[in-house]
Amino acid sequence: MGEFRQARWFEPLIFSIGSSGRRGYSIPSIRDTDRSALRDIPENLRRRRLPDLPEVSEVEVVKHFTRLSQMNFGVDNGLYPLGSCTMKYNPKMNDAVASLDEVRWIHPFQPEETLQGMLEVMYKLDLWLCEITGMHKFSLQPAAGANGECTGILIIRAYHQMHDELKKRREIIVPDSAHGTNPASASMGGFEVVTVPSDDSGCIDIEALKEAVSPRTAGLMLTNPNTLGIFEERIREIEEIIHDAGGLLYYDGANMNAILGKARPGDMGFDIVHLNLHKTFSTPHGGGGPGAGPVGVKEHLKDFLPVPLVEYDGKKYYLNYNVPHSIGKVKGFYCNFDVIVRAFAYILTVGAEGLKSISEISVLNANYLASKISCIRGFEIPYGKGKPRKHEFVASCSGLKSETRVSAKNVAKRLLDYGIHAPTIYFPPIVDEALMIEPTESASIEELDEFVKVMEAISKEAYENPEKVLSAPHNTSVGPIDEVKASHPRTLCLSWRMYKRKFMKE
Amino acid sequence: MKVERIISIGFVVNPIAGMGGRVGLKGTDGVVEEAIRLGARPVAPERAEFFLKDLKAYIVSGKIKLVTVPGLMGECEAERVGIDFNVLPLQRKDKTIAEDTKAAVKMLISGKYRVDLIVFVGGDGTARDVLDALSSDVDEAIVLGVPSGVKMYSGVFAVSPSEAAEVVKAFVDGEADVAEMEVVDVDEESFRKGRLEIHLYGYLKVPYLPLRIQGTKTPSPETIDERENQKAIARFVIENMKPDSTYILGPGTTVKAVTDLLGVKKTLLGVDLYWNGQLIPDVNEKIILETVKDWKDAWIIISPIGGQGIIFGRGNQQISPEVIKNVRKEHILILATKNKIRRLKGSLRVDTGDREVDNLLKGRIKVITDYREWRILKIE
Ligand SMILES: Cc1ncc(COP(=O)(O)O)c(C=O)c1O
Repeated sequence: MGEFRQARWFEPLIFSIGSSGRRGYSIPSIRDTDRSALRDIPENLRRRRLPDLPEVSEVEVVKHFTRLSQMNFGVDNGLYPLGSCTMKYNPKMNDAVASLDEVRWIHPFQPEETLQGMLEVMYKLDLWLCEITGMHKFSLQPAAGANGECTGILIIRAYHQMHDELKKRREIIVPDSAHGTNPASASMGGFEVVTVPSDDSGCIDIEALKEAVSPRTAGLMLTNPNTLGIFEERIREIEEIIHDAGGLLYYDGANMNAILGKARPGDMGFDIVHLNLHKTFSTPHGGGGPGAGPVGVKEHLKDFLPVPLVEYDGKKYYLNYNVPHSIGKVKGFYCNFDVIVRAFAYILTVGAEGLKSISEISVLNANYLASKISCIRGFEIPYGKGKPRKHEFVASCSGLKSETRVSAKNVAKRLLDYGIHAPTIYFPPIVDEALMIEPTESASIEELDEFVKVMEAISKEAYENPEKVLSAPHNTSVGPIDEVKASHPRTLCLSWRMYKRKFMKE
Repeated sequence: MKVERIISIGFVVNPIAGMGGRVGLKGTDGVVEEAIRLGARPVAPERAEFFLKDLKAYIVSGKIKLVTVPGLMGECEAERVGIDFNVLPLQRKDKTIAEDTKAAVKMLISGKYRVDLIVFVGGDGTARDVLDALSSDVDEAIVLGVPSGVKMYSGVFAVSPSEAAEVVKAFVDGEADVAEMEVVDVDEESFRKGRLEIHLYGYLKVPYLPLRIQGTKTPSPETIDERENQKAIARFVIENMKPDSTYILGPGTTVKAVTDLLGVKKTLLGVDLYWNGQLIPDVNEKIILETVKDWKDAWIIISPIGGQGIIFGRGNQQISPEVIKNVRKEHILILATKNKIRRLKGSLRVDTGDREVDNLLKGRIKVITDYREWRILKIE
């Protein structure tokens, strides 16, 4: 293992660079051109002062952002086993497609006839996603997984409302291993949340589920394989329990990476599904950038989907606003098209067989790592002992912590010192000192072996020289931060304006 | 302009706290000799030093004045860290006992010293000694525990010595709120025999910085603020309260969050009755049975105590088997913050003293964990 050293520039904020009047590009002042452009802007909306923008030259901008990018880490420069996030490599081909003029220069206000290409891409992606998930119609509108969940919950709400049962059906059931956005989405939809525990096998506790359902049940939100990376084997039984109680089944398909071409939520009995294109379908993500969380439904819920839907009448593609019980819009315009087109290109380039082998390799990689890591001192893989995992697994280092004080957080930070991104930590909440690891199909066997070696080294170090791990990271651009200060309202600082107010006393 | 005031801190170390742990004795009460024989080494002095080291800058800069206890109860540790301090005029001892902790605390809150904050290094047993020593002054004194015991089920501890130093700094800078936290202890004798008997002894006022007090366990981004969580639960409970129903309110801060929001004053350690805006404080079984007329509209609101998840039979015996039978399981509202649930290890327990009632309660129940959030838990 070579020494890793991340670039460390003492890079100031862009606001502290440059000087008054400096410019990289000059545009004619509005005063010199047509003042009539201002005419239609109401007086109270006009600026009195110029905005406080950085004043920098082009070369300063380029240097600044190049340095920041050197201090950054992403799927293009290292292993990124961030569980539940499916940080797979994003083929450059898809970016090339998204950069075509036909994609970049379209505008949602264009007439339909001139957007036939965009609509065709949307329509076909809808069909493919239906095929992959076993659903009957997709809306590509939601811009993220959580946005998709909220859409699904609003559909559940509208469905019960139409059957005059919403007053009674107040509860959405979620397992305790669920992603935090599930209960949050249910709350956003005005429901109460009932959490059901997992059993020792890492699956939903069926007896507890039976206790949880009642005439108040509106639906169940489930991830399968769940966040422990374990397949809910008794899904048909779960489906019956919920449907018999009059509830709907919602599938959180944020990560479909384990079951592409292998199993379909539609066949498992789910009524509603969302997918994160920015995970399984390889579109870039992180940092809250554009994503896509399309929502698919079975036939009986089609009429609740957001408008407009994309349809084809045999001759042309068109936007259909005539959806009788539509919940309305969940995002401006039609979708994040630059994301949609990348996912479209991805599916097209890998093909049906390619999708299957993606799942096979991602599952193989996860199980390979799981078996290696379970042998490392201080680590274990709780729940469902001996059961194979799917696309990811959750290790616990509570043994390591009680023997050496080194926690999951410390291990995660020490990994950064070796040029490996941290796994997801402290999630799912049912595992103490959790490290949730998802290598994806993009990692080569050499990278996986390297990762294991690094984990072994960290374990050894924890027992022999814990201080080194406890004070990590050492080799990164930014060292350990004070987490309380970083999140305390008094010290939290989210913008330049805030910074000036809090620390420069302006 | 903020006027800078020097904050005085009384610092008490229980040097034998935590010695039983590594040698598997589950506590150090009454077994110090055996612990030493088994090869136990003191842990508290080292942890006390960690704490003081992290606080050093504040002491050196004169923001904090430290008053401590002779010998290993604070003086030696402070000396080793190299800071200024005053020592209480107590006798220096090689072997210390609970009475020494109590004597020190009593002196620290007496007129002569009247410290702003008492920091002790120890475990649940030490927390109890501090509580005992404060007796009637308990409402005025502010206390923080630096964890060093075998058992630390009480909510008065910071997560670690360095976190404790951070809490103290925030307290000195006027950035910490003060909140009441449980002092609980398990009976060590039965604990060693594998039985868990947890007792709620009372509450101490603790400087409270959301992520840093043990009440909230591991400081991670996932951690929710305990107080906010209690308030959210309270709001949900109140939204669902029915007029003309009688509520039997169990002890503890979680239930107190409900009465705080209702604007009535709850007995923290006792059971109260609430009916249409009125509260009858500190009732016993007899008063409950006499007062509640209509059991059809009676509810029990309780929260499990400490880390063991006992809902009936510890600290709330006023809610007797007969009361529970009258109210029925469907009318029992159990409140527990998410952190409390994390510490439960999966299930709740009952020990009402009546087998029949225990069996009636066993099985699964819906527990309120947040605003509009429930969780299915097993009662064993
Ligand atoms: C299982 C699961 N559900 C939902 C989400 C939410 O997706 P998004 O971040 O796109 O809103 C995630 C994201 O990590 C997830 O892992």
